[in-house]
Amino acid sequence: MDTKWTNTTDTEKNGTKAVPSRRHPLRAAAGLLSFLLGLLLLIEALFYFWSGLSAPNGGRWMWDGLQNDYQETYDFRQEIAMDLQVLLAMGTGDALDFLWYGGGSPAQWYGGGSPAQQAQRVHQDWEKDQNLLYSVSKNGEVLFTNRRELSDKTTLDTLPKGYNFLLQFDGSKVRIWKDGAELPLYEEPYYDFDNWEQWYVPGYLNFKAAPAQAPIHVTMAVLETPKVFIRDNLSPFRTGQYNRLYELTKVLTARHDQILSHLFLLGAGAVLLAVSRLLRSDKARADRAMANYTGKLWFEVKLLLLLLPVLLLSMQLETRTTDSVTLLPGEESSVDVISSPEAMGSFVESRNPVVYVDSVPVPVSLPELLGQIPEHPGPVMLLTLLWYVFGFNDWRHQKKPWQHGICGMLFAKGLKWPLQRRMSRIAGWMGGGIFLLLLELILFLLFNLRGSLLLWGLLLPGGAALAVLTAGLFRQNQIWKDLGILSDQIRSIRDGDLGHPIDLPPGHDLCQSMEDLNQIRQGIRQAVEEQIRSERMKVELITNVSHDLKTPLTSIISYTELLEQEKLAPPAGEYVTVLGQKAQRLKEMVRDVFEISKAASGQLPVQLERLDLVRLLRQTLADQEEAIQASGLVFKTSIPETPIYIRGDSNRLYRVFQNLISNALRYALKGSRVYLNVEEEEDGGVSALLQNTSATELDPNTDYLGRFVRGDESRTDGGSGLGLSIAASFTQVCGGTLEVRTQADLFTVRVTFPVEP
Amino acid sequence: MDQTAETILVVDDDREIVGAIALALEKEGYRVLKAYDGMEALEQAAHPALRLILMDVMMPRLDGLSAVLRIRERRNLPIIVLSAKSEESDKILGLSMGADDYVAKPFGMQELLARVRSQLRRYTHLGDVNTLPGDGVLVNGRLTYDPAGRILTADGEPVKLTATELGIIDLLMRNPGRIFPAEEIYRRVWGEDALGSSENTVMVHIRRIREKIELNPREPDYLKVVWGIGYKMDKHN
Repeated sequence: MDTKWTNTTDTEKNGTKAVPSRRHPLRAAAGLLSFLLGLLLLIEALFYFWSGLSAPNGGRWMWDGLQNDYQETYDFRQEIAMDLQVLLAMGTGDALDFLWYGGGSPAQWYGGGSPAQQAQRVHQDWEKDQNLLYSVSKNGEVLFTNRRELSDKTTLDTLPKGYNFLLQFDGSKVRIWKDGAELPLYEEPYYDFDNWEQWYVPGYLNFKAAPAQAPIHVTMAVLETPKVFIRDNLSPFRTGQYNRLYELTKVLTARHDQILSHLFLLGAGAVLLAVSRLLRSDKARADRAMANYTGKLWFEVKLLLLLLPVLLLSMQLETRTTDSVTLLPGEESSVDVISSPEAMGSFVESRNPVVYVDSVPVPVSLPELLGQIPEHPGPVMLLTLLWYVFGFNDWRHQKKPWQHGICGMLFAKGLKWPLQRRMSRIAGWMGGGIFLLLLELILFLLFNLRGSLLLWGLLLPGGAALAVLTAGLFRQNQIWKDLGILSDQIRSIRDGDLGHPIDLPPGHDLCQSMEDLNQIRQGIRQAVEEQIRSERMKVELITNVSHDLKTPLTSIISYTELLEQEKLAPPAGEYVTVLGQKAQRLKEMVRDVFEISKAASGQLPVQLERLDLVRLLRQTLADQEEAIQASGLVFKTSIPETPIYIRGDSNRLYRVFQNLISNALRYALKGSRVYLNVEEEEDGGVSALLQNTSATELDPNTDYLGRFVRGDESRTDGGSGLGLSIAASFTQVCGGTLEVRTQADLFTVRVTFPVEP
Repeated sequence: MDQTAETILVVDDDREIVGAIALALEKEGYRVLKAYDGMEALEQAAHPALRLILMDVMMPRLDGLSAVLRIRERRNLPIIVLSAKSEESDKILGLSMGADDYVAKPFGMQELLARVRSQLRRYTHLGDVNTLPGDGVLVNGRLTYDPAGRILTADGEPVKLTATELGIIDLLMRNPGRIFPAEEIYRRVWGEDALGSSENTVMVHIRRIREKIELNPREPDYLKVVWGIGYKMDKHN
């Protein structure tokens, strides 16, 4: 009882354990994906900020992007300071060449013509852009203005509506007002070029206004919210400088959005990484599952996969910079531009006109190269992903990943059999050849080696790889051919041909296997011969024993019969009768043992012919009619009217059913019913079913088909105990099956044969 | 010893068997010669009064079947082979070597005596050679059937048969070796279509006929059941 109870609780415990709600595959996937996505987002965001901050003035650039008021940005200060320089130059009548800070040539912009003409052009460009109002006067006389009411007398109060920024240059110093308050300029007496907080305007001790600028007064006013004033580019010089401050606000807004979105990515990446940390046990399961898949890849394939993003990245990095130098007619001083010593050598100098356009590649140093990496987050992300999946995670879970691959095949230490090791080595060589060829193809495609010397260098390993592949294929071909011969031999042995061994040439890989097979064949042949011999001896033994038994039995029976004819004193006559009966029984047993021994050793001759099972049963019943009548049992038969043909030996099958019926007569309960039914089976067979109620209790553990088994062990009269055994043997030699089933006292024998169409 | 009594040679290497058979035969009034191997049998076979030989197969010096062959060269008399080999093939082999009958050991003495009587009757009553039967008379081993008179004789003795039994014998004797299903026998003998019980009816009659014509009705030589197919009259010489 105790054990029963503990058993139940155990199973209950197991039951609750067996429902792991926390081990859902979705959780594993979520853990892994959040880790990888978080990692990628962090890379993207960090690379953005890294490249932004590491660029020259990157901090300022980023700081500008975060400002809400565009007038607080360095870009704005620079713009205003530059414009002041232009306006001052326009006032003093200096040339405006310094305005050139882009592609093309100054001549295309403001160059050409006198300074006065240049100034006029600038004024034409700027005039309509009311985002910036300006007025330039010299000795009180207004030279250029795009708003009449603006003058050196203008104060914050007299500014036109919407303008919140005012700059006044009084010939030596600059004063700036913004939103009703004056900005503190010249707090430091010296101008510091590295301090971008300072305004780049004349008035410092080291950056004074030029004497020529003394009579010039410049007034500038800026709109608080820049608008679009010029809708089309009317500039005859295509300067593109229109709505400059409006464009500036747009650029700043875009930068602002970009920074904010990357901050968001940074946060999201951090959150995802935190989530993956929470799900770390699930992620570990996903890692293992993934490693199971990646572990199946060849080590060399993984290496290629890992090298691929490195190659991609290296293609995107600029390994050389190009200094492009453009000299224009009549500009002799331009030679100074050339600073790099490498460029000097190829420089061709000539006086008036100097025409020189060239590009000279300069190698980039390693730190410079690495500095470019932040600008390419794409390949880096791919690299990270592949390194995690095929590198880090794979190598963490595989003990020796390099053993699974070409090298593993070549060295094949784990393989037990020499043949296997040899085949593995061939596969390894061929895999290595393919690997080498693929590598060359990739190199060829990546670096565009056409016409390069390297291409010739690749020919040697490529040719070697091809040679290895060819040799490998020939060897494989030989193995396949030999394998065909080998499997043919195996088949022929299966089919019983033990006489025709084939040998393979000694050098072949499968030579040893073939030899082994031949030895097996030899062994089988010996075993078969041995068995045939022992079978023959067995049959001879049976025949001899049978003869030796029958001879004295003949004497016994004969003399008993002679005795029966004598007039004997009263008890002696009864004894002789008993002797006669037992002698008869012994005769039957000898016959039965002989037959069953022959059947068991497969020596029983049978003549198979087509016969009608229904008729056979009717004839047998009719034949046994007297015995049935005498037994007092009632036979209930259910036999079809139409014939059912089977294949069998007529006399043997008669013995089968005769034995079954006499078995029933002998062991069935007196006065009970015996049922004989013929049933057609679903699988195209037919079975005769004989059921009777046993007179004695049936032991369910008895094998009733065994030899010398009788329904009642204590009975001394009746059969030999071989009846069912003989019936089963005879059924079997005729291709049928006989099975016995007992249920309580019901004894059922089912004899099944395939139906002959 | 009665000189007119028919003389029988009993050959077996087992003296007790020879003795038992001799006893039984002498009780029946036969004279018995004894031999214990094939060579002795050959010597004894020259006895002029000899009418029949009972011959064992497995014997020292000369086996029974070889002895049968040698005796057959010189004498025409019935030989019954006694053998411990009971297979059908052994029986056929014995009969083809020139034996007239074949009895498997262990045998019942009554059956053996019946077979001896049968063989002797065939040889003495009908002559050493089969006397030519009358016109249309069918001969099959021990059985002779005269269709005209509807008379069946076994070993020359008429067999008393009922009308139905005669009908079956008529059909089977006219077609020895051919297998008839019960329905056909029923239709041709009874003259009506078979009912469900024809198998039983025919079987009952077959058994009765066997009792009258077979030496051992339990192991018939002539009227045989081919189980699962029908009934037939086996062909004999």
